[in-house]
Amino acid sequence: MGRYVLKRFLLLIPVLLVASFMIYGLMALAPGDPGTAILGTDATPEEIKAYNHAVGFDRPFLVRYGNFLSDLLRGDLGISYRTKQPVMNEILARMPVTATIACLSVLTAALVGVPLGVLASVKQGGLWDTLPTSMSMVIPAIPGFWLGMLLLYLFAFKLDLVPSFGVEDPLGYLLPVFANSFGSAARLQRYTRSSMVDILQTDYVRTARAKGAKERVVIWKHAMRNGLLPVVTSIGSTLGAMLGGAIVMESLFSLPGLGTLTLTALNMRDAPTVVASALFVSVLFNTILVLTDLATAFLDPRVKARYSK
Amino acid sequence: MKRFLSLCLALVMLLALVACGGDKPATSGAPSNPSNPSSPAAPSRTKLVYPLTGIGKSMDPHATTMSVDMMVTEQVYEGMHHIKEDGTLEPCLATGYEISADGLTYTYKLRQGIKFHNGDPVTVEDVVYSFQRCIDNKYRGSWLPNLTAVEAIGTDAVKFTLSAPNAVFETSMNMVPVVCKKVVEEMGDNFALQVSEAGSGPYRFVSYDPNNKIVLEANPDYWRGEAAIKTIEYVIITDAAARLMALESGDIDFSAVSANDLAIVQANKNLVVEPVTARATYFIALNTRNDKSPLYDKRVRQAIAYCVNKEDIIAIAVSGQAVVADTFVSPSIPDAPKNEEMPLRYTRNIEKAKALLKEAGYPNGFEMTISCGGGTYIPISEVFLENLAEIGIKATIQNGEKASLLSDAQTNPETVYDTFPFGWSWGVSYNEYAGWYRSDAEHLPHAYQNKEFDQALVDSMKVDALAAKSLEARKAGWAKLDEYLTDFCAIIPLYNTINNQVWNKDLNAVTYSLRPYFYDWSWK
Repeated sequence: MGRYVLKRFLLLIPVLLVASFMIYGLMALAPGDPGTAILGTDATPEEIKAYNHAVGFDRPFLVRYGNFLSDLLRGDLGISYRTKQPVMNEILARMPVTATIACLSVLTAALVGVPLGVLASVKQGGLWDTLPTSMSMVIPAIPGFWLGMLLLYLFAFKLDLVPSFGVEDPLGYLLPVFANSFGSAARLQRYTRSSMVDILQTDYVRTARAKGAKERVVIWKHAMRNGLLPVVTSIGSTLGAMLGGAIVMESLFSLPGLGTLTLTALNMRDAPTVVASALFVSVLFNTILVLTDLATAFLDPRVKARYSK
Repeated sequence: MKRFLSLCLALVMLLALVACGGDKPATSGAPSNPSNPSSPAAPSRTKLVYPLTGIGKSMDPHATTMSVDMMVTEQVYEGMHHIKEDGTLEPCLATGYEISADGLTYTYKLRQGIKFHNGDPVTVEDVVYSFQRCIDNKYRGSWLPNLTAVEAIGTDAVKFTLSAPNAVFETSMNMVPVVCKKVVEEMGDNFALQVSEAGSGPYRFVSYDPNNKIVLEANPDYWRGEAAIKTIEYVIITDAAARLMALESGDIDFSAVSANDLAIVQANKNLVVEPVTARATYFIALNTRNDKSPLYDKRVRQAIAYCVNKEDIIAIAVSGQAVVADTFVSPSIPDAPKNEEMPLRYTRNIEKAKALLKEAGYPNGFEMTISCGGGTYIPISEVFLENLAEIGIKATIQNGEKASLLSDAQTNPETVYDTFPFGWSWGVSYNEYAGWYRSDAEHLPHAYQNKEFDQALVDSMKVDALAAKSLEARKAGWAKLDEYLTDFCAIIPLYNTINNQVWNKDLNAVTYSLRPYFYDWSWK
């Protein structure tokens, strides 16, 4: 099992290398240069050229990428063109808000979606199945921005229950978490229902019922253990995606998170921040995927057994 | 099943408790629900919550020209005079000044007894340091036209030496705030990004988080007396719809709203709405530098100017919330010529446009591109395209990102683009526009010299205007230059935006065409 864990983490390295190359390469292809971005249109071409030379922008792409990688290994994500501060500091300052919203959103989605999915699988064909399953097909089609606007209008303006922006007041987390988790809860409901329906039709569940086990024990003890394995994977990837920062939600609710940092950096052509943010998210996302795989391996004795030989 | 239902019920009850319990945090004391008139009256208000539409770059007043930064720094730092909304000067750190007969020397008397926020007195050394810092920073240096030296005279006066007479100097030099030399040198690079006590203005920093909130408090030792509004909270709300929602719910006290939202705020009895002509001009720039392009010929550019339907552009791009601009610099700039004062104006005339094209050798038109930077420029480009079609010019819109379009234009202006719509905000004088047409500005995308452009004539007209002894004489000088530039037609002005400023009805706000000055504001 230890070898499996090591192998999964080692496989991260080439994945992240490719990701870093693509991110850095895409940013290098984008028009513009740091000299123009920082010095502005009043600068002469000579001044821009001098600035670009000073920051190494005129070197070949592979040389620049190599320098970028070597800085990265030392934990240096570069200096923001906009603020002249280490990008890592800015990312770390923003992460708590994004992480809080992501974790709360996933938790809410799981607390709502999973039980509804289990219920739908148990009550197949009934109202408890039809209603949530139908809703779970409609809800992902609702644009998140529109939903967020509606929530703001209703709860912040009309009912005046929560602040309309920011998270200084903890209540400020309610609306973005709800808006974020809505679609995820619907997806989790569908995955859970689908997985549980398959499990409930297996021989060992039939055997448990035949042996007289209470329905509650059949569902919670026997069926869910296997039925929720795909759901764990889905929760993991959802968390990873949310940790990337929902740019639209963060803009709408004026949240000082990673999404707005990336958006501001894009608008201001702050390439180091864009590259660093994208890479940071990539590392987080892939790490969470690995942890999710490991969690699945831990929960599924068949996987554990395969890699423990 | 029962347990599940119990769990759901508990969750619903918990949500209900959360929703019903707890007070909304105090904002500025605005009524908790503006649509409910029976809400208890708010206590005496001392705080103003003001939204910033973007994230700033720096709190160093000499290192940034971003509006979101200057909205903060102009409350914390002050210059030798305060420039009022009508362009007149109000003594501030200086009690007065003298100009030498040849117009090359300005001597300012420093007001005594003023202190920085750290308690140190404002001295002539600080003044010299501040101006030298801007001379050394060429971007702020553009606000100090012709300034070559600044030196202290004794302990209460500062002398500024110019290389040539410049009537704009006495206004534009006040855009340079005075900072505490000791604090700035101690803080080094951190001065731009941390709370500092280097200002002497009516407000001082409490906290600075550019990603979230900036808080200022009234300076209790301010030489003109403490401000009525004791605390200013700048909150970052980038989304216009979210700002509107926050304004209507009372979470913020002031905002500018778009034309689309005007009817909503006008219907709200708790808000006051006032339209203000902003110091911003939207225009179409024409590339005059490509000698292989039809646009190299002035007659072609003038033909294009005659075909533009500015009223349609205003109606479609900004829902009518703008005024037609026939001159490039906003009329709210005190020394800028006004539309009605211009002898040459390109009032839409399709027949004249066609005649000019025919005279230039393009009776059947030609093809060209419109480089569009997105946002407001999209509807502008679309209307412009239709107008060009009326005179036989077949245009295509090339979409791009605004900053990269400018960057491309700067790199290779001769061939990269034909036209692009753009917008520009003004400071205090027509001279800022005149500065675009200088002989060392060939690299600028908006400085369009070509063989027909008489740089020497333009330079001499600039010198004459800057040497004028009175505002009226200067205005006349700029009008003469503007007539030449209008005839050259490198830029087609379209409109000056109207800024719909909206605020809480209990706030005594002072409207502004550029940036607010909160010292003049108060709560009822």
